[in-house]
Amino acid sequence: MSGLIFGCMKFDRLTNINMVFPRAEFCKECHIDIYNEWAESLHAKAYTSSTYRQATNDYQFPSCLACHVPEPRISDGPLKSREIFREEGVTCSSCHLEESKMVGPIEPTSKLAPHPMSVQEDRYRNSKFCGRCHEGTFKEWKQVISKEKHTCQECHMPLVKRKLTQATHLLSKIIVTVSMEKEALQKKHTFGVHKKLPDMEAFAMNLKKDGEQIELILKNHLPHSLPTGDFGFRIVIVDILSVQENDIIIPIKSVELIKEINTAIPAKATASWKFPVPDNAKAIRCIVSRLSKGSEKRENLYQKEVSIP
Amino acid sequence: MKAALVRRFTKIEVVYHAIQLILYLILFVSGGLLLLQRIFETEKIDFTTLSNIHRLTGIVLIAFILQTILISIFATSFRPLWKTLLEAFKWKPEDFVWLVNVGLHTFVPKVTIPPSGRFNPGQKLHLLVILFVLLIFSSTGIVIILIPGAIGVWIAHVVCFVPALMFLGLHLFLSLVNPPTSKALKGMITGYVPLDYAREHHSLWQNGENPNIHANHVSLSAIILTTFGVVAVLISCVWYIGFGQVKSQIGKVAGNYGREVILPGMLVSGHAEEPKAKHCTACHNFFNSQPSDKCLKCHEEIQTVMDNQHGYHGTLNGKCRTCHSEHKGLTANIFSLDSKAFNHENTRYSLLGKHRDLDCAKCHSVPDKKTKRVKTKYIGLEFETCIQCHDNPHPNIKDKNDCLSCHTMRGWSKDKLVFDHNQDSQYKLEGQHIEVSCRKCHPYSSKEKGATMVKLINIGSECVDCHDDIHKGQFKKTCKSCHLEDGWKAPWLAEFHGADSTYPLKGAHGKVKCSDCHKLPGKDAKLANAKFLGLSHECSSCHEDPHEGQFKKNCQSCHVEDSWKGPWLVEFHGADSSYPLKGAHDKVKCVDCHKLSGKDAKLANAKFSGLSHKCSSCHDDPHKGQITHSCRICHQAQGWKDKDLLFVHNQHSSYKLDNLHIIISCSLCHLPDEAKVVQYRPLPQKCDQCHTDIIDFMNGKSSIGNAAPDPHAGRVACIDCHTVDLAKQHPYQYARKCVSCHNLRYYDLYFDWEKSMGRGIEIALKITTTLNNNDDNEKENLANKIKIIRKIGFHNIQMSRKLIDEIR
Repeated sequence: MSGLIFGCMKFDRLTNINMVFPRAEFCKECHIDIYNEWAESLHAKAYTSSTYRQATNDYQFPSCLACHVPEPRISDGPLKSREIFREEGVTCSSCHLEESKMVGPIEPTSKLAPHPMSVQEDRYRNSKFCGRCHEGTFKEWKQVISKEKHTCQECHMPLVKRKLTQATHLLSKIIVTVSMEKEALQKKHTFGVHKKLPDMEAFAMNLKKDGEQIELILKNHLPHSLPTGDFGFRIVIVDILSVQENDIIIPIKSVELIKEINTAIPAKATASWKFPVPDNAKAIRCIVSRLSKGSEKRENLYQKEVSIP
Repeated sequence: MKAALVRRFTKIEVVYHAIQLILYLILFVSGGLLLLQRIFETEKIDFTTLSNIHRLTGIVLIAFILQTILISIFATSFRPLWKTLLEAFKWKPEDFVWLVNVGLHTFVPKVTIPPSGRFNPGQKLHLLVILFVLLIFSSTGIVIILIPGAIGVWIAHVVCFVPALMFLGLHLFLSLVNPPTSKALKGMITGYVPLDYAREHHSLWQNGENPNIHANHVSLSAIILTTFGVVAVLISCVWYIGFGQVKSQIGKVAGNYGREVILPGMLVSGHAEEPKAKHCTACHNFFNSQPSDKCLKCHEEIQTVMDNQHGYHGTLNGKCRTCHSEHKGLTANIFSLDSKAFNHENTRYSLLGKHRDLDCAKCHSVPDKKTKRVKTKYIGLEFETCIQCHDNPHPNIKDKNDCLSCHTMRGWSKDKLVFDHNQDSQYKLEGQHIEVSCRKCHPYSSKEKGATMVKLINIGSECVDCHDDIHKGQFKKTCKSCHLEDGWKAPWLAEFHGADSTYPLKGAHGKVKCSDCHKLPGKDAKLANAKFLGLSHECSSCHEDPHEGQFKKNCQSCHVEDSWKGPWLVEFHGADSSYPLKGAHDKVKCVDCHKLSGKDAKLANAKFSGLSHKCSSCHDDPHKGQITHSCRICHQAQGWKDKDLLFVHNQHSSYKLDNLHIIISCSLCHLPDEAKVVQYRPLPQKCDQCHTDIIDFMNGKSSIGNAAPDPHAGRVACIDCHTVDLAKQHPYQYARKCVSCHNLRYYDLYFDWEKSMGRGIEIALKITTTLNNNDDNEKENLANKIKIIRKIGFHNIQMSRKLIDEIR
C-alpha cells in the first residue's frame, strides 16, 4: 500500500544533488521544530551576517566559503563550497545529505519515510564531525585529557525528547499521520552557549586572601579555551566587582580575555588576578561575559559572588 | 687537206715543258731585272718584292722538279721524261759533225748536215745545258737562301745567268722566229708535229729509209732580222738611259770586278770609309756564311771583352750579325741598341742611384783622345773612379778616389751623404751643431757667385773660431764652462748658479727669468749684455715686505725659495704653534679667518697677529642655544656633518634608533620650527607620539570620515606588526605577523585582504580618472582621499573598506 502511494510520489528532488540541493524551507515542511532552532542559530547566519560580509570584504575571499556555505558531501574528503542558495549558510543538507540519502544519528522513528535514509550514529555523535570547520576549538578539545570531557554535541546540542516531524501542509500532514511517528530522544539544533548543562559547571570561582592582597582564581572547566574560535575577534570580559557592606557595587578590575594575545584561559586551566582588599567589601563578584559580535552589547556567561574570607 | 701529223711528245712531256717554261721565264725575267737594276743602281721595281718573287718561284721550280722525279719512280706514265733525258746523253761522232756543219750550212749550203734522230744534237746540247744550268741555279739558290753572306755561290748564281741567257735566246729564236724550225712549235703544244717536218729534220726517227733528206735548218734572213732587232732594242735602251751613264756605270762595275752586281746595299759610313773593308772578302767567305771572327779582326776591343768574358759583349755567344746587320745604307744604325730597354746590369758597371736617371750620352759621349771630337763610346770607358766623369769640388782633399766614403750614388746633397761628421772627421758635432747648416762652418772658398769649392778641413775647432764673445770679456772662464753645444740659452746653459756657486738658485728662483735679477741695461738689450757680477744676496735687495712689518722674524722663517704661497709656506700653523690647524681648518682658505681688508686686497696685507681661538669667534651657533654644552662634544675640526660628526644617536641621545628609523632622513624627525631652527631637543620618543595619524586611524578617526575603531586598537602595539629591525617589511612578513597571533589561515587571509583592497582602490582610481565632471578640485579631493585610504590600509581595515565603498 505504502509502496503504491510513494511509488507514485517520488521525492527525488530531495536527493538529486546533481540538480539542486534541498533547501531548508523544504525540510521545514516536516521538521518544523528543528528548522526553527536552526534558523535562530549562527549556522543559519553563517553567510548572511554582516560580520561575515565585512570580514570577507563583501564575499571576496573564496577560501572562507567551504565552511560558511558547505556543499553536502559528508565524507572524509575536504569540504567544498556550494554555488546555490548560499544565503542559507550552514544548512540542513550541508550535514545530512549524502549520496541521494538523508543521513542522521538515529534510527527511523516512523513506519514510513518519504526519502531514503541512512544511519551513521558514530559520525554525528563525534566532535570530529564539528571539527571539520571548527578546527582550532577541535584541536583544543583533542588535547584535553579528562574523564569529564564532553563532546561538542553534548554541550552545544542539548538532548530533547520529541517527534522528529511536525506537519504543516496537507500533504505533510497526511504523510506524518500515515507514518505513525513515535517520540524519540534527539538533539536540538541550537548550536549556542548553554548556561545550564546537566552535570557540570562551566566555570568555578575562588578567593584566596594573602595579607592585604586578594587573589581571585577562575577555573575553566570547558574542554576548550575561553574564549575559543578561529576567526573574528572573540573577546570575553571578566569583570571583578566588590560588593560593599551597603550593597553598593564598585568595579575593581575588568580584564579582557583574548585568545590571540594569549590572555584566554586554556581548557581545564585556571586564571588568577591579584588586587588589594577593597575597603568595606563583604564579597567579591565575578562576571564573565562575552562581547556580542558587531555591537557593544555584552552577553553574560557566568556570574558568582564569593564572600571575602 | 689536212697535213699529216706525227706524235713527237707525250702529254706528260708537253705538260712538264709548259710548267717549266712558265717558272723558268718568271725566274729569268725577275733575276735579269735584279741584275740590271743593280748594275744601273736604280730601283724602278722594289728590290725586296722582286727578290721575294724570284726566291719563291725558284723554290716552286725546285719543288716541282723534285716532285716530278719522285712521281716518276712510281708512275710509269712519267718514264718518257727519263727516256727523253737519256737520249740527250747518247752522242755519236756524227753529232759533233752536225754541230759544226749546221752553222756552216746556213752560210754555205753545200755543207751537208748529218741526219739526226728524234732530237738533233743541238737540241740534246740545249737539254744538257738546261740541266746543268738548272742544277747550278737551284743548288746555289738554296745555299743563298740558307747561308746568307756566302759570296761564292752568289757569284756562281750570277755567272750562270750568262749561258742561260745565251741558250734561252737561241731556243726562243729557233722555236719562235726561225721559219724552218718554228714549225715544230706545234709539237710543244699538241704533242704532234707535221710529218713533213719530222721527215726533213729528224730523218733517222721518221724516215729511216732515206736519212739524207733534210731541209734547211736555219734561215739566214731570220738571223739577220733578229740581230737587227736586238741591236735596235739595245741602242734604244742606251739612248733612253744616256750613254755617259751607261758608260760610267759599266766602268764602275767593271772596276770593282762586278762587285755591285751582287752588293745587296751600301755599307754603313764607318765601314764604307774604311780602306780595310774595300773587298767583300774582308768580311765574307766564299762558301760560308759571314763569320764573326772577320768582324773581330778589326774590332779588337770586342774580341778582348769576349775573350775575358766581361762587359755586355762578354756575356754573349751569338754571331755579330745576329744583332748588327749590314748593307742597310750609309746612315743606317747598325747598333740595334734600345737605350731605354737596355739592361745596364749586363755591363761591368751597374747603374745605381742617380746614375739610373741620366741620359746615356752623359757618360757615353766622350772626346776622342787624338781627334778631340766627341764620340759615342760604349766599350772601353773607364769607370773605376768617380773623377773620370765628375770634377772634384774640394780643393784640400787629396785622396781623389775616396768620394764614396762620403757620397752615395743617390745624390750629392747633405741628406744623401754617408759622411758621418762624428766618425769621419776630427770635430764631433753635438747639440745644435748637428742641426746647423754645413755652410755655416764650411763656407765657399771664394765669395764669388757660382763658387763651388768648399773648405772642408783645417778650419779650427775652438768656439771663437766661429763665434764672437757677446759678454765682452765679463767672464774669464771658457765658453764651455757655461754654454753647451745644445743651445746658447736656457735650458742648455750649464749650471753656473749651482750648489757650489756664490748664489745657488733654489726653488722658484730656479724658474724666475734671468732678467728679473740681472736687469737689462736697455729695453731691447740682450740678456748677455746684462750685469752678472757684484749683485747683493739679501731678499730685500729684490723683494718688498707686503706684511707691513707685522712680523719681526726674517722672511726665511715662513717663506722658502720654492714659492711665496700655499704649500710652500713654512708650517707656521703647526702642532707647536699657538693655533695648530686641524681637520677641516687645515683645508679652509686662509682668508676665511684672516679677513681681507678690502675686496681686492691681498692675503699678505691681512691681519695675522692677535686673533681669538674660540669656535664662536669665527662660527655662528646654528642650534640657537638648544644645546648648551661645548661644540666639541658633537663636532670636531674634521667637519660639521655626516661622518665627521662625533655625535652617535644611540650613544649621545636617550632615543635609540632602530633599523627602521636609522635609514630615514634626520630631517623627518628633526623638523625646523617657525624660525627655521631645526629642533633637536626635547622631542617625543614613543611611536604614537609621532605617528598620531595612525593612532587616529585605528581609533576610527580620519580627516575624510570616521568609522568604528579597529579591534586591534589599544590591544596590539605597533611593534607587534611592524618589525623595527627591518628597514623594509615585505607583505609576507606582515602575513607572518598575522599568523603569529591568529591561526595559519590568516596568512592567506592577509593576502586576500591586500588583493581585494588593492582592487577596490584601483576601481576607485578609475572612477576618479573617468569622472565626467571637469572640476579639478573634486578630482584632486578624490585622489587625496585615496592616498589617505592607502595609508589607513590595514590599520583599520573596516574603515578603509567603508571609505572605498563611499567613493564607489
